[in-house]
Amino acid sequence: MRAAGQQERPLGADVPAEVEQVPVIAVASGKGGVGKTTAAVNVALPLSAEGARVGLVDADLYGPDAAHMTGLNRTKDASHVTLFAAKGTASARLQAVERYGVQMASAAFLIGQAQGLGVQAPIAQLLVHRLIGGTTWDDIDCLIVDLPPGTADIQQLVFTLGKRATYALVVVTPSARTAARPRPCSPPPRTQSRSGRAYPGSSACRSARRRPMTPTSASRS
Amino acid sequence: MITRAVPEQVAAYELLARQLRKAIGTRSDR
Repeated sequence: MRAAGQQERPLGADVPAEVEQVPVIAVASGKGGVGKTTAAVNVALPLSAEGARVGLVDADLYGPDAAHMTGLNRTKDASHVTLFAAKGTASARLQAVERYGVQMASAAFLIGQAQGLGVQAPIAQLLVHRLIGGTTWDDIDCLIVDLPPGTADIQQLVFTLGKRATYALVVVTPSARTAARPRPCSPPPRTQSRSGRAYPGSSACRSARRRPMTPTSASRS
Repeated sequence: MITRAVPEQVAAYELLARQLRKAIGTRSDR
């Protein structure tokens, strides 16, 4: 809720300038289970090996498997998830976790591995915004964002966050259904985007059944 | 490559990474 006379700030207004300019490689698909996370992780690693400083955001809040694929699991359940916090407070910023030379931010670090996030679109957008702009990255060259399947709110947020080059890596499988879907998940025309070829990998590491965490609470310090 | 994959997949990911690296450029390019 806004106080009278207070101007509405667009989502992403507080993203630090240096992060705002970092190119985004969005890994997307029209359908789930095609290997987006596999592709995201396996592109991040050789990019890093080539000398690029890579950030990997696991924006698939409902199946944050990128962290699990790299062997990072949070065993302790979370009692709440912080969506935003006042500047300067301990929970104001998240710290990227480095693994195999890739800096990572994931919802999997915010909740226990047996928990799941049952959040609606506006909260999901806030969380992804926090994962991208609220994380302290160490001098990254590019940000790979592993998106959830489809063309909903999180995808729209990522494609419009900041004035940066955005590249879309659309993953498909040799199936008529998934091949028919990539077009709708391409970024809107006003963003700078280039299509990359997709190399589908295995869809191993699918998320195990998760226990919903209720209620999801936001804390403000 | 950290998941189990055939060499062709590894080569494909490495090729894709090289193309992306060329596309995104370096910080001095931006």
